Amino acid sequence: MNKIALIIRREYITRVRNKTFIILTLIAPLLYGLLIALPIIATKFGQDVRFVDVVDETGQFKYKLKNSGELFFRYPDASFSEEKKLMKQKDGPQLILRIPNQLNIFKPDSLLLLSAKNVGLNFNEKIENAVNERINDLKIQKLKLNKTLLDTLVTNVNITVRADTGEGEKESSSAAASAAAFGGGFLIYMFIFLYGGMVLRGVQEEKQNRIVEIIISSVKPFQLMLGKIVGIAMVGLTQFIVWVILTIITTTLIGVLLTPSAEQMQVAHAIAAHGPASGMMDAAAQGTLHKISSAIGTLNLTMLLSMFVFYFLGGYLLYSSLFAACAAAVDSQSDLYQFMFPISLPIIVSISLIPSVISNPDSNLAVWLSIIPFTAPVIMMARLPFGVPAWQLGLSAFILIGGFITTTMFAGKIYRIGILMYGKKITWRELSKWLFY
Amino acid sequence: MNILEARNISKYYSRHTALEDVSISVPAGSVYGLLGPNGAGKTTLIRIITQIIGPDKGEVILNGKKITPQDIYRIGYMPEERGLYRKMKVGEQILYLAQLKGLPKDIAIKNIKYWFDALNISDWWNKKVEELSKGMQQKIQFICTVIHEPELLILDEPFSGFDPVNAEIIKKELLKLKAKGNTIILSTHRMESVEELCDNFCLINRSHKVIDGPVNEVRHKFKAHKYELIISGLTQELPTAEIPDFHLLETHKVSDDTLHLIFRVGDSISTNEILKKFLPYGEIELFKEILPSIHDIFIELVGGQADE
Repeated sequence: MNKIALIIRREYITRVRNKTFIILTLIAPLLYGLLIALPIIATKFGQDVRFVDVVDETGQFKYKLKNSGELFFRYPDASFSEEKKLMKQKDGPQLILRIPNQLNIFKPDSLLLLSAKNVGLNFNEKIENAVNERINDLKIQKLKLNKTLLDTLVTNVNITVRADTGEGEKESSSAAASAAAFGGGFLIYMFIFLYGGMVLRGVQEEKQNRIVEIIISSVKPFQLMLGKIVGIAMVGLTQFIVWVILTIITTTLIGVLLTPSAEQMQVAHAIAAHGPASGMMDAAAQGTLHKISSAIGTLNLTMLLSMFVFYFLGGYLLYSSLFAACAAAVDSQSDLYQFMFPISLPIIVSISLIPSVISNPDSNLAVWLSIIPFTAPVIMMARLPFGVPAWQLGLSAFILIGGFITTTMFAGKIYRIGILMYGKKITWRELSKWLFY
Repeated sequence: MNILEARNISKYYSRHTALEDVSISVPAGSVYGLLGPNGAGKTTLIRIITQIIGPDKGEVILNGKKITPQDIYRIGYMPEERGLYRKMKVGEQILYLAQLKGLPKDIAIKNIKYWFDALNISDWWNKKVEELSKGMQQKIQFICTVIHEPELLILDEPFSGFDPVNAEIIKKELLKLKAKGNTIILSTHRMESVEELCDNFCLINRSHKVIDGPVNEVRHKFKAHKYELIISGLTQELPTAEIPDFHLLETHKVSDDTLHLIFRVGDSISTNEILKKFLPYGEIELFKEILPSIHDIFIELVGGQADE
């Protein structure tokens, strides 16, 4: 078997078989899915339907209060004192809303909510909203205002954003684009450090273990370095693919779980039948889901994912070869930092520049940073969701490929000499000399 | 016939010269000692032979031809600084290193089993390296060196760090390999530790070759005409005056009529003639010429220049 292939295989298999790696790979997307699902699940399952018995002494509220997701108004014929008695019984009403006869709709402060136990603030507010809405209607009637006219006064602007990509206009959501820009840029940054760090530690291990001299008596140092970098890149791709697949599965599962079942629909309809103005239980949750999915729909996910893989690989190859060279050159952890810091600076700077890139993705700064290979992976991922001209993308990709070939070659030279150098404090001057050996 | 020749090798680093015009010839099937103090340039020479680094001048000839990258399969190298992947299983690790040396998987497995049996470690395949003691790891390192049945074995400081028991086991295995026709190069700064094993040697000091040749020949060449004698049943004084340039170096009475002497003579008298002179005076229990050790020769040649 080809030697580089052997090295790649060892680097890949020893890492993929590692228990920590397996657990992290499987659990991360589940945690991620849970993170999204939790608030939705909480809305859905955390609150059950509560019935409020309305003792309406004015006779103007009966069947006029709007039910919402977890709030349902009943209108028993009993008086307030009778209801109060019933409350003490088992299965009696838990909440009684008294609307007194002398209610002044212009100063409605005599309402009373009697509850068997403490009611949450949020819940109280919902009841108030329902009552407010009805009182508003009553006021409009009393003041003889034109409701249709009033309704036209309410303005609700909803701007549709269209991206002109040259292939025709496309609806886009700037919120989704910003989120994708942040997510993409940050993930690239994380991946480069995660897997670049693996390369760094791998090289350090070989040097500290002193196995390296045994290996480079069989293969060229450059082959060893390249095999390690490629093997770990494959580990990264494996992890990424598993994450994408598992994330799709978990989000699909969450979607299925949160869509009301036939039974739930029946219950909802049964409840709805009681009142003229009622909503579906899951309307809110579903609305949120729908908004999210339609926003995601405005992004070109296939393009973003494939560009992510490209910029991850490019950025990783660029940086990990430099990391490998650093790890090969130095003996001690503390010496390592003096070289690692300046090398990782561009990528840290690009992360901190993401917000300004998002606010103006086509600024000169953003364009140039997305072409310079050291900042391109993060910055280009942040620009991509907003649309990038083809020539810029092409130029950036081309320079990045050239960049990692160059850094790998330089790193190979430093690695070759450094890996056999022990007990010597290395300076930048020394390193630059090694380049020309 | 020489399996290996290094011709006029020089290697320069930015601030110092690692090797200056060093040539060695290693006869096939012999044990060759590469000796010299720390920092003399031994490891640099070995790294040039194993093609880890290239020489600035000179060339390496293996089996009569200029060495090529393919030749690394014929060389087994155990570096001075040696280690293993700690988290890897012993069997997989040796297999990996053997495959890097170009050995097909099935043959590699067969050879590993052979060596596991030979070194009494048959059940180690699934052990992780980090579970092994240092001595155990050294056995594994030795197997890694010989696993691909190299014609030429190069061991840098082979016995440093080995405990005496393991060192003895490895020495025996080395002699077995020599008997099978393999050539072995031992490099060490502890000259006395390999003297008995080596047929030929080369002394390197401060990047230069000091002397090389067959161990016995060189020792004879540098002999100081020193002898050791134990003689009993003495009735009269030994005829030391008849021996030219006789110098008594040490003497002590073992018993009333037994003497133990160490002395030096001039080079005009042969060993047999000295023996003849002593024969009539008593019972000779021991008589031998003391040849200088390589270390003695080294001291004589470089004097105070050694960096040790």
